[in-house]
Amino acid sequence: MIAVLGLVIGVIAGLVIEPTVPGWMQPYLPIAVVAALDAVLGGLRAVLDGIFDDRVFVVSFLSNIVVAALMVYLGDQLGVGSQLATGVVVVLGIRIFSNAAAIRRHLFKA
Amino acid sequence: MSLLARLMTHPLEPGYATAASRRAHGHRLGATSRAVTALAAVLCGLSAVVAVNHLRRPAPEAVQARRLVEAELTERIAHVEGTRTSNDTTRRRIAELQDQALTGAGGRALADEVAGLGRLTGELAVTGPGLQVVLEDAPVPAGGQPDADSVPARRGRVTDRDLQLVVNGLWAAGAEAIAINGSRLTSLSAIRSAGQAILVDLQPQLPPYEIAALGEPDRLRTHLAEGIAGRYLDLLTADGIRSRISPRARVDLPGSASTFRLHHARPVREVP
Repeated sequence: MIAVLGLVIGVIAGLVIEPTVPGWMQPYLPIAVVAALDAVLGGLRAVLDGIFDDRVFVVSFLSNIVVAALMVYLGDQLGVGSQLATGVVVVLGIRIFSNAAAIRRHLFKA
Repeated sequence: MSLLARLMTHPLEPGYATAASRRAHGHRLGATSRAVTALAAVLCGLSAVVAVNHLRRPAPEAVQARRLVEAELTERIAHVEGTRTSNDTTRRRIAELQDQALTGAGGRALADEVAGLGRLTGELAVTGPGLQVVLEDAPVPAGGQPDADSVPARRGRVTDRDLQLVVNGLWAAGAEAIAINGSRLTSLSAIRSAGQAILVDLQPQLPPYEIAALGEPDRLRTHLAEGIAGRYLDLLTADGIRSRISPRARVDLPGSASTFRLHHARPVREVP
């Protein structure tokens, strides 16, 4: 649960400090948010499945963000940035949907 | 398709299952890796919330740039207004000094002639009875703004051509001086359009267009109605353009803002 605690502290710190984002980072923000959402839903499902693990959660969270940003960067360099971003969003979106469905089954047994 | 199918059936990170089985075998995380995990989690939360925060806010650069341009625009407009006012003052002063100098030199008749010519050319302000013609765009039909480029919208808009015809009609009817929206016309004035705007001597004008003409009101009115401009105004009414012609006991026409340069002709040297 230490990862959840750390996450909450990070969120609060972000809300309080409100740091500015450097310009070169801005194209990757939307995709990073989607990746983070995917990791959070995955973690939530793992909690309900009773197999949550701090390390796996943090690693999946970070790697999700980094890989998504890398793909967008690569796409931008190759001139297919929007298409690759769409691909990332589709894959993560499917995962978010499936995990959300699993969580729903857990909570409502339906 | 197997990739997507796998995504659908096993959306959970396989790492969770592996970690669970490792835990079942009694494997525990050390203090260092727990600290690193916590730190990384803080980083995750921080980056996520900062990204969300940033995306929700409008781009500060765009807002800033807009404000900068706005400020510059206001400043420029003020500058133009200031320059125009000072130009007017200077012009009046020049006329006064010229008048004084000519009178002082004993040429009262000359001073009067210069003043008369100045009124005629549009350099000096004139006042007197006259006629006012107001042209206004067709009213926008109820139910919102139609497409500005649609045919009815274009037909219902006053154009440079309409103003030119009315002004020429007024000249033909015997007007001594004419101004559009307070912009005095001279023999070198141009009424043109740029996009949807009408420029009078390169100054954009907005509807309603008030054309003030100096002259005997009744005579102007009759001659205007009899001439081609009168019939043209009827045509404009059919398109929805509103026009009002009203005699005025007194119209004030300012001096023209354009620079007066003396143009004179020189005989071509005869070739022997």
